[in-house]
Amino acid sequence: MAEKIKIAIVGGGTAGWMTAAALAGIATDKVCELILVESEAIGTVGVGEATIPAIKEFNDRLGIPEAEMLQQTKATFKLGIEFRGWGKPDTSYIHPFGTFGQPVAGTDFHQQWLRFLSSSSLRESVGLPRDLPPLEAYSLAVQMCRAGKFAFPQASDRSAIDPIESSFAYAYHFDAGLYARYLRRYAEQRGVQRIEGRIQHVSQNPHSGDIQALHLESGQQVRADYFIDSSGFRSLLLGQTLGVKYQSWNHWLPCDSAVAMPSARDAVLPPVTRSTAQAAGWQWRIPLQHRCGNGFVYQSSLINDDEASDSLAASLKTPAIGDPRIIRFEAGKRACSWYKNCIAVGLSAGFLEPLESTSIYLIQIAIVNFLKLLPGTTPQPQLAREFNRLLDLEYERARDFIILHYHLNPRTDSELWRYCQSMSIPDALRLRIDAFRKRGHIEQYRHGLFAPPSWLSVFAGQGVTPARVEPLATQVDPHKAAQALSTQAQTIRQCVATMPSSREFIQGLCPESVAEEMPA
Amino acid sequence: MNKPAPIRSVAVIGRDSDAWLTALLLQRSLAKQTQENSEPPMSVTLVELPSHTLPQDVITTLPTQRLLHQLLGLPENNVLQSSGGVPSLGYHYAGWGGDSSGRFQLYDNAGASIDRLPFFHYWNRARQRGLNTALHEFSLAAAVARRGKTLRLNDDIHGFAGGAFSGTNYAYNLSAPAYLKGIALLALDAGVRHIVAEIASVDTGDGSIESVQLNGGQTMHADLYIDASGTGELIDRLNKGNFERWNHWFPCDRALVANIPRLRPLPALNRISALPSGWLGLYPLAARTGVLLPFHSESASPEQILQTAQKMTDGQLQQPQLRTLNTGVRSTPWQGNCIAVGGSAASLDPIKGLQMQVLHTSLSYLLSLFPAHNHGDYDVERELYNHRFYKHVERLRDFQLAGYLLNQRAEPFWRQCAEAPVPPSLADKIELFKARGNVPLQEHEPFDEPTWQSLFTGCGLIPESYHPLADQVPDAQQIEFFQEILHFVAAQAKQMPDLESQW
Repeated sequence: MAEKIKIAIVGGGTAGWMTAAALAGIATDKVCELILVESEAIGTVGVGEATIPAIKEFNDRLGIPEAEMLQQTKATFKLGIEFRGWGKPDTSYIHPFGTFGQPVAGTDFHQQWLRFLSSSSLRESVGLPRDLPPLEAYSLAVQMCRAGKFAFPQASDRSAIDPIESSFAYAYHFDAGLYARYLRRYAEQRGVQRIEGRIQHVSQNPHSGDIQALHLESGQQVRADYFIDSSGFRSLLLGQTLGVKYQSWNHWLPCDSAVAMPSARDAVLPPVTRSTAQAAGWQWRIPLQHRCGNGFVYQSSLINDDEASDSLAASLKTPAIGDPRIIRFEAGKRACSWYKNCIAVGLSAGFLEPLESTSIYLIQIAIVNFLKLLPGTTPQPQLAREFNRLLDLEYERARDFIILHYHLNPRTDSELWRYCQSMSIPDALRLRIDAFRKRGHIEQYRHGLFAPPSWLSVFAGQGVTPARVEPLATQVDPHKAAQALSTQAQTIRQCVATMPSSREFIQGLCPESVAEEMPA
Repeated sequence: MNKPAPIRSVAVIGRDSDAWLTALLLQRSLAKQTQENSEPPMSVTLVELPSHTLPQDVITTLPTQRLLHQLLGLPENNVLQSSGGVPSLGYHYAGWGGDSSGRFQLYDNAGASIDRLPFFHYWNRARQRGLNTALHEFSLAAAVARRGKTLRLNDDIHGFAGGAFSGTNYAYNLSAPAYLKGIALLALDAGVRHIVAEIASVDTGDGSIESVQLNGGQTMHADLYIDASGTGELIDRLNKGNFERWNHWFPCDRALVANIPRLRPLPALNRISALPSGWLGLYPLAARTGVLLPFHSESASPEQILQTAQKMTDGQLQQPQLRTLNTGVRSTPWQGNCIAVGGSAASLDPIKGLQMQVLHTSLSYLLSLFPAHNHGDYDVERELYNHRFYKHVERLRDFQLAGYLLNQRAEPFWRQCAEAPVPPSLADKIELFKARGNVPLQEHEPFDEPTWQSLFTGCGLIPESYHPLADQVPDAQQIEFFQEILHFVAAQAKQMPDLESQW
């Protein structure tokens, strides 16, 4: 048995407790000893209440029972994000956790759809309706969102093409504070030692510069081999102590503020997060079992905090149940996440606005990669280098995907949108847009979160129409392709028709919290 | 959408498998009459240049060749039978470590994971504690090859008590002339137009090809030109300067090609033996055995090499012939309306038999990026093709280079190989592996992490540490698991078909 490593985690928000729980659940006390230092006097940001399907893998890996987690975190199901006002004015599209159609004779579904969209004579010749159904008619996840329905996806049977019933995944809307509390219990049961207290001073090894100990106000010292910095925006260890610089991305993502304000619950419990574009930014709505999370992300040079709060309050469908809370941020990330013996997880490593619910995912992927490259007691700089390479790719690709939304939004009602349309964007993103615009081509990358269906939903939803279909797609017998389109849309309609509403579904799993009032 | 004309004609100008496979694939995939256009379908014309294939040549593939054949609708048995081929489970390298130990490169992965931690990390930990069973011993292919057997083709392995076994895989050795003949017949049958000629001159303008004059007086006009010459004969007319030579990494510049009679019993692995200034490869086929001996011409004369080859094959060498090797890659294989595929785009060292993979890679990118129209504006497609192809081929190069760099022989030729500058992409892999046994993967990688791990392990690299999570499973349980795997592969191997009687 090798020597156990000692890991100290600084900060007990979502990032800190997710890290503690994952290390405790996967690495057990045979491999590492874990201490978490947090202070109840320091609040957490904790607006990241919308997740993406990776969270389910995380929970499953830790053996967390889903129904229990749903009950304790007041969670609802989430099948995607609805974007209102991001494409043409008054339009809505959904970025689903699922695919659009199934491949037809080895070609991408969207290519076949584009092929028929572009030619009315072709549609006519194969008996498709004059008005081709929109792309979203071929996505089960989108149709479930539109109908407010939910059911678990069918397990994939590992055949070449998954059935439509398993063409989606799901995530949760939950109370991030309750989730952290739930994971705290999980972690403490598995031996994580929690220390309550404020950190007064951080000492470094005078030779290596490594972090040596956390000195608490109580006089207690916490020594460890590795320190996880989950201190939030403060970046106490990575930023303040080790001086790793912050790289700003605000020239691509100019919004720098948010106001959050919960309201009484939306009894429908829709299975979708909503993002509505406004002149100075965009507004979110996240339905939980007991309340609705709302917020407005904005550029502070265009609108002041009071105006933003008023605008948010005025738009709420249910009464506000808390005061507005203002959050300041700057999009960007630290030059590296792992430096010396310190690994930053969460906001201490970087920040991207919650437009695509990436905050908790970025915590998770840092944990996953840390576990993959888990160090021993002897430092090995190669592990940190690989960790940083993988995290850079994750952050940059998530960033590019968010920039895409701003860049493609045709609104002209404020300087924000006019700027985003004309700004110069990262080269990799430029090429992805060009490849789609020219031929509907979307590359799948090895590292990074968003798969082709995600890109497709935004391209299609925000009005990028390819100039041409790929030649391979035009080689498929159009009768066969048309048949596939019709059958798939019909299967989706039938599936959705038999599903319970998302509210009923949650009620079945969490009878106590949802039972009271029925929606009108 | 507006409707400019689609690509109407493609000229594939080249030779051998590069040209015939390209023409066949384009004809099968893109030359059907489409309902969108009333015009005739795209035509594919193959201008066949004089062949460079020798009767002694063997085509070695990777397992992915099976996918290419599936795409072309070629049944496996037909391919193997008509081209005198045999399934190959990988390579046995002799003498590369400077001693009598062998190195193995198998298409199988070894072992099975426990608690989602890959097998390699358990094996690495166990070895650091004194285990001396080699990594490849935990793969079915090794057990099968040792018994003179082969894998049942197209069959998954079931029944491993420890969970999912990592599975089996195989590739092919094919007799080049026979394979070529089969593909050519299929291509002609599919409707490929065929002209036998040589290039007399090429008219270029504005960075593109306007027409190609053939030596018979004919002029080829096409919307797109595919350079499948194996040597860049066509694309060189547009830009000669973009071929990066790799001879500082791969010093073998000549090769002896020959035959010996069929080996009995037929081995399941190709055997690659290191020699003082090159190496000798034996590639089993159904009716003969291909011999290849690449060497560095400044370190050995052709006569010496011939003598060595005779000695190593017990004087059975037949039809020895020499060939020049010119390894390197073209940084922009797509220029204007000319797209280089296969050997014209990248010519690899013969080690590990990856040249067919180069063709396969260029064809899959070509198909997915085939221009939708003939306006000559191929910027996006060209940028994607050039970038992806180059990165992909660089990783193939790194895979080959590792074996040369990490040799432990003393001769000047081998010291030169060992001291060559290590490209950063490979250095990153070696360093992380040496630290902890993990291998960083780039975006365009043909091989997965276990394949790299087994390559580095075979080359004698030993990680300094092991993954701490491998401590989680108690020692006794790990030992039991290892024994279970060894019993399982032995039992499975016994049931596998006998190679000698099958082929």
